[in-house]
Parts: sequence; C-alpha cells; structure tokens
Amino acid sequence: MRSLLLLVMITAYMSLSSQTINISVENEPAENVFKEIMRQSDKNFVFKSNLLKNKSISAHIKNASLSEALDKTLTPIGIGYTLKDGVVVLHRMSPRTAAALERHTISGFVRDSISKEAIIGAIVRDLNTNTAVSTNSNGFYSLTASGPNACIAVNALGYIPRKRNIESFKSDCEIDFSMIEAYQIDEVTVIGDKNMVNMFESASIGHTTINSNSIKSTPVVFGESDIIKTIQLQPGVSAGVEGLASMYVHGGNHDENLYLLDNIPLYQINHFGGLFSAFNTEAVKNVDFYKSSFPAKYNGRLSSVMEVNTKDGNMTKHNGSLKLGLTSGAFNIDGPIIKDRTTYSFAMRRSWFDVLSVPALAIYNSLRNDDTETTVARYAFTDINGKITHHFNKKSRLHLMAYYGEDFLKGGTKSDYEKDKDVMEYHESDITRIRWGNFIVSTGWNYLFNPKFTGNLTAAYSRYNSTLRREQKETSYDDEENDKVTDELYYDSQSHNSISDWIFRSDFDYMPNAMHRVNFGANYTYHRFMPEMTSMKLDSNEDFLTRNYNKSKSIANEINAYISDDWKISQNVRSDIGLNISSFFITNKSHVNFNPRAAINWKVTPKLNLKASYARMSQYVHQLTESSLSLPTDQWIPIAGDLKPQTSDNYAIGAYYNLSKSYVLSAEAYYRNMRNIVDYRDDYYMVPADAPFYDQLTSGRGTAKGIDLIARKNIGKITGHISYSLLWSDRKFAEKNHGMKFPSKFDNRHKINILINWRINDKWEVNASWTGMSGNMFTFSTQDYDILPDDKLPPFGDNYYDGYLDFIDGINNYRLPFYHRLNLGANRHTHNGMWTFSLYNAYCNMNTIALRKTFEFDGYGTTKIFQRLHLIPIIPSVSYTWFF
Amino acid sequence: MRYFYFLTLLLATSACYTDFDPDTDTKPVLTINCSAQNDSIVTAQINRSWRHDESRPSPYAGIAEVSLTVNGKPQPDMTFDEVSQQFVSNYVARSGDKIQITAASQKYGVADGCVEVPYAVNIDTITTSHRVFVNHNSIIAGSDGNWGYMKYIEIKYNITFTDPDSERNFYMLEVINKPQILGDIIMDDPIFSEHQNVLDIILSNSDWINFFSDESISGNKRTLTVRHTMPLPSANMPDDVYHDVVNIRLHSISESYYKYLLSICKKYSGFNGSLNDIGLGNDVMIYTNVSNGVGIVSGSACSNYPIDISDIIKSCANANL
Repeated sequence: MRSLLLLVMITAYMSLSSQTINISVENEPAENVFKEIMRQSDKNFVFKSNLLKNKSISAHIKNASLSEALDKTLTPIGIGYTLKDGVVVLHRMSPRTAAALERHTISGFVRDSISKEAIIGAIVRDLNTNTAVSTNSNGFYSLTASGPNACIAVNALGYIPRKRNIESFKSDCEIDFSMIEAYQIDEVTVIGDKNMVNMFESASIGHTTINSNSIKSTPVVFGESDIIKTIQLQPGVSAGVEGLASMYVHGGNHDENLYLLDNIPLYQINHFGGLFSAFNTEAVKNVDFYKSSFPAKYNGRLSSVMEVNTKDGNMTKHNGSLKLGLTSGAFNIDGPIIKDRTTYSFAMRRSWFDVLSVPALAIYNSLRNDDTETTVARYAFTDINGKITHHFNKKSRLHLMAYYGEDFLKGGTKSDYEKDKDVMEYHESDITRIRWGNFIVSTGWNYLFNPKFTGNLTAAYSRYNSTLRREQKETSYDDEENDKVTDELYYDSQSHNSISDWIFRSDFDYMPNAMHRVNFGANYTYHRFMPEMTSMKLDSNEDFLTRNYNKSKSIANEINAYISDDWKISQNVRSDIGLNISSFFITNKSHVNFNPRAAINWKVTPKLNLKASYARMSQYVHQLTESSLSLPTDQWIPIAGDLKPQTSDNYAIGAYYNLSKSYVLSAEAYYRNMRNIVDYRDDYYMVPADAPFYDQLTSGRGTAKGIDLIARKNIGKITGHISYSLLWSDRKFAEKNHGMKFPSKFDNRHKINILINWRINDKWEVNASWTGMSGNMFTFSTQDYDILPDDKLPPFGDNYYDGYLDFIDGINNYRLPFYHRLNLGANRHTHNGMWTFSLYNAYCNMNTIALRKTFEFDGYGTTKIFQRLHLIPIIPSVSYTWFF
Repeated sequence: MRYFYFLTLLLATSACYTDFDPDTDTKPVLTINCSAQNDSIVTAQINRSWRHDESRPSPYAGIAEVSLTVNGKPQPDMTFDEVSQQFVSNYVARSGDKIQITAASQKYGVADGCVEVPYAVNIDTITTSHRVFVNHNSIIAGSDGNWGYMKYIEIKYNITFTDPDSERNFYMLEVINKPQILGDIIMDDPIFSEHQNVLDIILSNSDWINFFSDESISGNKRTLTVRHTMPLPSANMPDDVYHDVVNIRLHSISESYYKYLLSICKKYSGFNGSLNDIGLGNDVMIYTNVSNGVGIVSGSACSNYPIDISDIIKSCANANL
C-alpha cells in the first residue's frame, strides 16, 4: 500500500454541473493544478500518488464545468477519469485511448488534377470521426483529426472522390489532393455534391452551390447557358417577365439581390433587356446562391445573395475553347504565364444580332416600298473577363481581375429626298443610341498565416454606366447653288446615369479547433451616384438652345464589419451565429444597422436534419423601375431624403432527409418581413422631373411567406430535381394603392420545377426542364369611364382613344394565366469539342406576359376587346464549342 | 411611336396577341365629371363605369339624385338635361366658391366630390416678334409641275403674368386663333415639359401639354413663350384675308384638375403611353377627387387677352413680294 495514497476529501455537496472552474497556468506541476481544481469544485478526488508525478499542465480555462476542465487538463497528459457517487477517480489511460484523444490538424489544398486550379466547396471529411469541412475560395481546407489514424475523403461536384488513409501521425500535417474530373473516365457518374453539405452539414438554409457544368446542363433560350436562368429553376425563385434574366426571390424585388463577381458587387446583370445575363459561363468556376439564411459576410440586399467565382487559370498548360452559337460566340483561354506560379484566364463573349439583323433590315426596308426612308437598327453585347493569379508560395497568392460588359442598341430612320437622281434636296436622320454596361477591376491578396488562419485583402473599382442619346439632323440643300446648305437643324439630347464604387475589404477565416470556424472582416465602399445627367442641345439657323441638369449627384460611404462562428456544438448540433454591422453615410445623415444572423442544424438521425435560422439584412441602394421591363435607363439611387434604409427579417425552418445514397428530400418554410421598402407613389408624376428623385417615392412594408419543397437525385447517370414552392407576397405603402395592401407583382402562388439531366454515355447527355407556375399579378383595368366632357382638355397623343379612361380598382388586381414551359437540350461530346442543341419552349406554349384593352376594326365599326400579349415561341438553337 | 424599332421587331417576331374574356366580377361605380367655371352655371355629367367590351351606357335622369352644395349651403336639386345629357343647376359659380356635387344612387351608392373655384390671374402684357421661314415639311406643287417648299410666318407671343404668391396655383394656357390649314400653335416653353422625364424627352415624340404649375414661378412674374405658325398668304390681297385676332386665355385651374390632366398625360402619352399601349406600361391610376366613385370635380377661372395680328400678317405678305 506504500505506493497508494488515498486522498479522501470532504463529501461534495454541490452537483458537478453547477460548479465552474477558472484556471490559467503554464507548465504548472499537475499536482498543483488538481489541488486547485479540487478547491474550486469541492469534489472528492481519488488517484495514485505517482500518477501526477513529473507531469506539468498548461491550460487556460474560464467558467468551465468540471468535466470540461478535466477534459482539457487530463487528456493532454494521458490521464482519464471516472465520476461515481460524487467522487472523481483518476487513472492512467490505455495507450489506445490516449492515442485516440490526440488531436492534429490536417490541412492542404484541393485542386484540379490537370489545371491545378483550386476547387471551391470540395468536401473534406475524416471518415473515422465523420468530421467534415469544405474548401474555401482558394481551395484550402483545415481539419482537426483525433487519434493516430485518419481516413480523409474528398468529394467535389463533377470529380471522382479521393480517399487517403493516414496512419500513426503524431503532428499536424499538410495533404494536398488532386481531383480527377468525372467525365474523364469511362464509368461516368456525377459524384459528390456541395449541396449535400449545405443541407446536412452546415447550418445554413436555402444555400445552393452550382458549378459551371451544372449551368451548361440546363437548357435555355438560344442555347446560351445562363447562371440566372439556372437559378430561376430553384424553388422560391420567380423569373419575372417571360424570357428575362431577372430574379424575384421569396417575394422580393429584382433590385434586392446581391450579385457578386469575385466578391465585388455587380449592379446590372442583364443583356438585351434581360434575355441574357452578364455572366459568361465560360469564365465561371462556381456559384453560391443564398435565399433564406445569410452568412454574416454578406449584406446590402434584402432577398438573396449570389456569389460568382471566376476561373483562375490552368497552372500547367494552355487550354481554352471557342464557341459558335446562333446568336453569339465566345472565346476562352487560360494557362500558365510562369508554370506552377502565375496563371491567366481570359474569356470574351459577343453577340452577333447586329450581323444577323442586316439582311432582316434590308428585307424590311425593301418591303416598306419607301425609297426615301431607311430604318436603321443595330444591337450587340460584349463581355470580357480577365484574371491573372500569381502564387508567391504556398501561403501567399495575388490576383488581378477585370470585367467589362457592354450593350449597344441603335435604332432610327434616315431619309433622303431627291428632286431627281443627282440632286439632293433634303436629308434627315433621327437616331437613338443606348449604351450600358459594367466595368470592374479588382485585386486581391490571399495569405495563409497558418493552417488555421487565412486572410484575404481586396481592393476594387466597380462602375455601372448607361447613356441614352437621341440625335436628330435635318439638312436642306439648294440645287441651284451647287448644293449649298440652306437650312440646318441639329438636336441632340442625352441622358447618363451611373454608379461608381471604390471598395476595400478584408476577410479572415480562423479555425481554432475542430469545433469552431470563425469568419470575420470589414469592408468600406465609397459610392458615387449619378442618377441622371441630362443635356439637350438645339442648333438651327436661328435658334441655339442648350439645357443641362444633373439630378442629385451624391456621394455615400458605406462600412460593414462582421463576425461569425460556425460552431459544432456536439456531434449532432451545429450552429452558425454572427453579426454584421453596417453603416451608411450620405449628405450629413448616417444610418447604422445591426444585422444579427443565427442558424442551427440538428442531426436528429443520421438521415434527418432539422434547421432553423434568422437573418436580418439591410439595403441602402435601390433601383427605380417605371415599367415592367428591365431597362438600362433604370437608375440606381441611394437612400436619401426622408427615406430610411430598407431592412428585412428573414425567418426560416428546414427539414432535410437523406432518403438513400442518391435521393434527398428537403422542405423549407420561410417568413420575410420587409420594412422601409420603396416604390413610386401613386401620384409620382406630380413631381417635376428635375426634383430630387426621392420626392417621387414612398416607403412601406412588405411580407413574404411560403414553403419550398425539393426532391433531388444527385448521383448517377440521371440526376435532377423536382421542386414545388408556395408563396404569398404583399406590399403596403401609405401613398400607393390608396394605402391598401396589395399583392406583389411576382406573387406566383404555386410553382413547380422539374429538371432532369441524363448522361447516356460519354458522348451524349440530354436534359430537360419544365416550369409551371401561377401567373404574375398584373394591374388590369376591365372597366372604362367617361372623361371630363370639356373641350379644354389637351390632346394626349397616339394612345389616347375615344374619350374613355381606364378604371383601375387596385394594383396587381389580376392574375395572369398559368405559366408553363418545357425546355429540352442535348450535348454531344466529340473528341475535342461539344455540340449543344436546345429547344426552348418545346411545345410552343407562348405564355402571357401582359394584358391590354384595345379596339378591333371589323370594316363596319369598332369592337372593344381584351387582349393577352404572348411572348417567345419555340426557339431551336445549336452551338458548337471547340476545346483546345 | 417611332422609336421602338427593337421592341416592335421583337414583338413582331416573337409575340402575338389573342383575344380573351377576363373572368372577373365587374362592379360599376358612379362617375362624376364637373367643371365649375367662374361666371358659368354649374353642370355635372353623372354616369357609371362599364365593362370595356360593353357599350357605353348613356347618362339618364334616373341614374342618381344629384345635389349641389355651395359653401356648405344646399342648392336646389340639379335637373337632367336631355340635350347635353348633363345635370344642370341654376347656380352661377364664382371664384372662391366651394362646390360640392353629390350623386346618390340606389344601385351604385353615394359618391361626391368637392372643389374650390380658383381666382382668375390677369395677363399683364403680350409682346410679339415674327419671322418668315421656309417650311421644309410643307410642299406646294405649281401648275407647271414644279414643286417647292411653302413659306410660313412664325409669330412669337411673349405672354407675361404675375403669379399670386399666397398659394399654390395651377394654370392652363389656351391660344384661340383663326383656323388655319397647316397652321400650328407650338407651346415649347420649358414650363410645359417640367413633368416629362428623360425617357419622354428622348425616346418619345411627346405631344405638348398646355397646363403647368407655379412650382418654378412661386409668386413672381413669368413670361411664357408660344409660337404660332401659319402659311404666308399672298401679297396684295383684300384686308379681310389678313385679318386675324388671336385670343390668348390664361385659365387658373384647381389643383385637382391639374392632377387629373397630368395623370391622363402620364398614362396615355410619352414613353409610358407607348408601353401602355402594348400592355407593358406603368400602373398609373387616373387621379380622382370623387370619393366612392371616379371622375373629377374641377374648377377654373379665365382671363382673356385678345391680340390683333392682322398687321403682322399683312406686312409679312407684302414684304415677300
């Protein structure tokens, strides 16, 4: 009994859980530490006297329970404990147990095996402990493993899974993974899906990740793969007007979506009135889309966040593609500048509607049978993406990114009157040009401080600009005086609107242990708004008139700071709690908003997860839209005057069930409460055109609630999803619709989406998507009433008819007919290329986009009728992409 | 509208219209239209709204009981006049009167509207300047088969008035001239386009409007410029050919009337009017000050300024010899 010394302390009278321990020691003899723990916990401890001999402890424990304190102090020195009848018995751990409790950090990069490009969102999992993390925007992961062995598996969408056993490792280690793309092998299956992690591992609700292959596998109009149209197939997302690339997420407005291109906001995302989006899929690596819960990093829009990451470029060899389609062509090339160090990526897309329209216009002009007047029209859009990435070493990386996108539209007439063939008498032209687009340039530095701590610094300039110009020229010649110009008139009217941002941001990612992942950062944006700058110039023989006015050019400063902790509370419970603080300073006014974020995930069974989330978002800029169309002249304006920042409180709950290896079911319910949202007042037209823009606006409230159901098949040759969403969305403004509540325009009550991709073999892939939904709400007048019978009324132009006015009994008072459309597509992979065939609106159901009241002339008189405007018939298309 | 080539082209190639019958309950409401003018008897047109594809119902005596209240005092009931199809009172409106029209119908309920008749604002002065120009939009063919451009007279009226500074005022300008084939009154003073937005200005051939507010005048003197064009008559004609007296009238109109006119313009003309015609316009609701119904109860008062332009026409014609 000489080696055994029993220390028996006085009987404990407090329960174990009610005690809190505070210890802060460095290399303190273990015996001293346990004496202190005994003192603070009032427990009886029993252990062999030599158990703690020659052992020292370093620990910093604050307000910990006894069990936590014991775990943190005993485990590192290989001692275990049992608690029985209020007595703590210490004992030496078996070597196996001690090894199992040993923790090490495994970190590294996940890259494409050929291009060496970082893979974002790959899932890295320790199969022994079932602990998983996803790679960040640099393809970096950091995982804490317990025990001497680990089995690391990596899954990434579109890649063959990798697995690696690590045995008897005694310290932190770095392991990089090279992933092989799935279609490069014969047995083709699409394995691994970040969305599985979004649903079952993370706490977020309504988070979808899409990579470029998924985008290309979604059939769309003119065969142009499109990110926005792919996301429109998600439940809870309305497409707006047929064919257009807008998004209305969970009953929100089109300007309430935050579009980020490599972390930089993009204001205008439409080409050709929205038929195409500004994102060239050839330059895109992947897309993250959030619609219910939002990470603390994001703020600035009420409804959704879409982050688009572009390709860095191949680190080992040059490759690219050339795509020729019916309406546009795209060229993409990337490769190393310095092998394994510096890469470039360049992508360009240009439409050729202008080329195609030349013969169409020639036919049109000849059919008009008017040899004096010619119709002029031209439209084109261009996108250019460029990126250079330099790896200084494994820890440090710098990139420079630029994006330029522009649309150009020209239309008008030219007239030449000739007295005879040789003598010009009169020349007239009236041409309108619209030019709009984005320009972004950004640079970012990414640094890996250690395997647990990474940081990004970004500086960027972003600009959206649109110009509308109309030029009218009239010139008269006198043929008797050698074609001397006798009379001349020149009228030039222009309008510009722009928004420019200077952005500086820092983002950090810290993983102190396996339980926590902390993201924090801050950003500053210098906004410069020019909502409208109009100039008019009239120059004729006798008149010279100029008129210019700038409408409320304004400067604003926006600062955001955020922190969030993705905390794995236990094996089955995970939370993501954060706070975003945003402030907006404009013309001596400042607005500060605290935007808390919280999400929790409870793994009820290995197959069933339940989640709940809350997020507040605030928005300081919005876009004024006067018509149903998305026009380039729609102005982005800041919150100013008496308007307050728009905010939304987003509540969501979700249930996710992993039916089998292939099938997943999910149900998400949400409620969104929007405050201070803005819209035009009923009598906005009363405000003079040169008055501040906010005088035309009113602020109010809105709510949106609904359910999104989705069944996915992620694995196998046939993949896809079926989804159903139910939505109620309304608005209420004091100065709109006589103060009465009304449904929002895109209150699509029921919506069903079906998307199927079938990879038949390594050559053929076919896909189909079907959308059916309740029609949009429309403000429709079914009744007429008498206009004031007074001859003093002015004429009202071509569209005023017959002395009757429209009686509207409420805004968005009529639901358009049920909308449905089937798109089909097929991809055929050849040795070094791919044919893409698509059939938009395959059964040619031209959906209703608007209603009108009009007259029909039947030879005897007029009949008053109601009409529906249907848009977009069946559109077949084909394109070829050559890979080199 | 000439400037919607792409929209038109797009719609022509990818869109179509189909007739349909909107399956909705249509509940007619009473319409009151009344223009109470200084020194004129008060009349009101009472009707109901009707479904667009039905015929317009003719106003009739039994549609409602119509009463007039002036400055809070009930007046004898208005009677229905079959000729004008309006309800007519015996009361002559005066500036400053508060006119209220009430229409009570068993079928459509009770609707009413109210207005205060404004005071007339006198025109201080009108000065003129003129020129003769070749109008390249007007061609004349000679008996010899040759053709040429017509010459025109342009008279510029500079109309000066003083806006009362005590309250918000609204105006309508009217130029009544001898009917001229090919002649025109052009109201392109910037005050008439103060509510046109950039799309109206640049993308549409907006029709001029002839009403404005004192927002940019605010109690000061203001000179409006109006151009009057007419074909140049031949020289040495009898004096009655050249005789022309133009009446320039400045109407003071009620705010309700101004809002009503402006909402009609916004809905049916300009860029929004063009979009509205194809079903894609903004949801502009026509202004009404009739509660429980639609229409307008408006007020106006007029000051007239005649100006003889016979000498101008004659001198221009003779100078063109």
